[in-house]
Amino acid sequence: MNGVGGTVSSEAAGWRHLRHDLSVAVAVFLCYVFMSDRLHEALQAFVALILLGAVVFQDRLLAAWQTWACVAVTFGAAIAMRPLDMANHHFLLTYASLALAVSLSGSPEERHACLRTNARWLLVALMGVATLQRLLQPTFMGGGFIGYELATGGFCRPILTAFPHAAEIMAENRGLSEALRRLPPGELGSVTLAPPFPGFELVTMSFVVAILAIEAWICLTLLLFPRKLLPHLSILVFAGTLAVLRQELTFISVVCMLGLFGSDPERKVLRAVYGILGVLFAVAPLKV
Amino acid sequence: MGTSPIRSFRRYAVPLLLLLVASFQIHAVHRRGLSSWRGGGFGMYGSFSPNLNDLWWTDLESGETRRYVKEEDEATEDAHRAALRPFLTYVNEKALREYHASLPAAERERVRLEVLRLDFDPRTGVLSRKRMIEAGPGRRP
Repeated sequence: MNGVGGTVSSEAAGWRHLRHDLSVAVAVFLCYVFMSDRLHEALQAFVALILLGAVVFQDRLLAAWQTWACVAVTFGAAIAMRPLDMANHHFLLTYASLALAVSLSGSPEERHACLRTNARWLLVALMGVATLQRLLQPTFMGGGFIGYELATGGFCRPILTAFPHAAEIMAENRGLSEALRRLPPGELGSVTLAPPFPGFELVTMSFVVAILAIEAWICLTLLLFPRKLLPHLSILVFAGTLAVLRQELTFISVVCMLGLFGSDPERKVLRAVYGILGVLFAVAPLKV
Repeated sequence: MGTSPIRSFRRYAVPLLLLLVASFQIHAVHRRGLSSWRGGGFGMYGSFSPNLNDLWWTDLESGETRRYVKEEDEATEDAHRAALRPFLTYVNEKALREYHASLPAAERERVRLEVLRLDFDPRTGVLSRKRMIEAGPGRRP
């Protein structure tokens, strides 16, 4: 009887963990669907209806693979309709919904473990590809792109705008950039942007190295130590840094959601942090 | 806990799909001029955004110029904009020349199209423009 009781309670715990993951997923997907201006209205309404149905009929729809397959197909259709207009976090949400659908189509004992493996490998692939992309871009490696963003206030705006002098220089630089772009194409032209803070070149190149390092680090630690706390702490540092560097809130919420899917059930605090951050970053763009 | 093909498929097919799409996207970026920001390759913040590219339409006879940018108000859309907008993301000279060749003959002989992008040197602070692709008469040096 103890064995049966143990199985029942472990199944109940398994469902509790899975329901936690799925509830966060519903919140992240719903916020994105309500916020996105690139999804076709009919697709938007269809996904919203499915997800709201999963909220109302939790026992039947939340963990049904068909629910997430419908979401994945709809998101995939949106990509097929406008492949060059869809943001990278839309692609990531499509993979997340596919991962949910395939994982939930398995037996009740293995579906959570399957979702965990999917999420870890999705994060490994995401960070690996992102690192490779940057290594292949001379504009990134030479500091041209990061430097431009820092000089015009595209990066670190919440911090830099706290310094009025820096904010003023960045506004001037944005004006110069726009003036250059408006010149007729006959003369290509150039302007010199003023550095908004001392040690501009050093800071720029430090950003280049730091961005490459954190993405490669997350990829490696997830590959080598998937069950340790280290890769998850690195993901949380990445999410926090990205929130300050550039407010890509939806992307951060999807990364936190995948981190939650990929974390072991016994890491209760970590899972709570991922869940809270995932929902907060998903809700935040609705207010911004 | 064996490893059946279905079990492996469930666990690894989706990450492999991500890698497959990203591989095609990386190929398109480096061989066909796609912006690294687009197409699901997770290359955002690796290069200048396509929103910073400008497509210039120049009438060489009248000297009239029009600038097409990625996020332009659709109310100001003219006949060319919808067709030209993709070239800001997909900076492909062959495709731009094909589009130019498809223009009516009278227009084709006097209209020049070119896509310019920004370039920044963090050492000197110099922001300049580069001509990425062009089509039509009057090739510039």
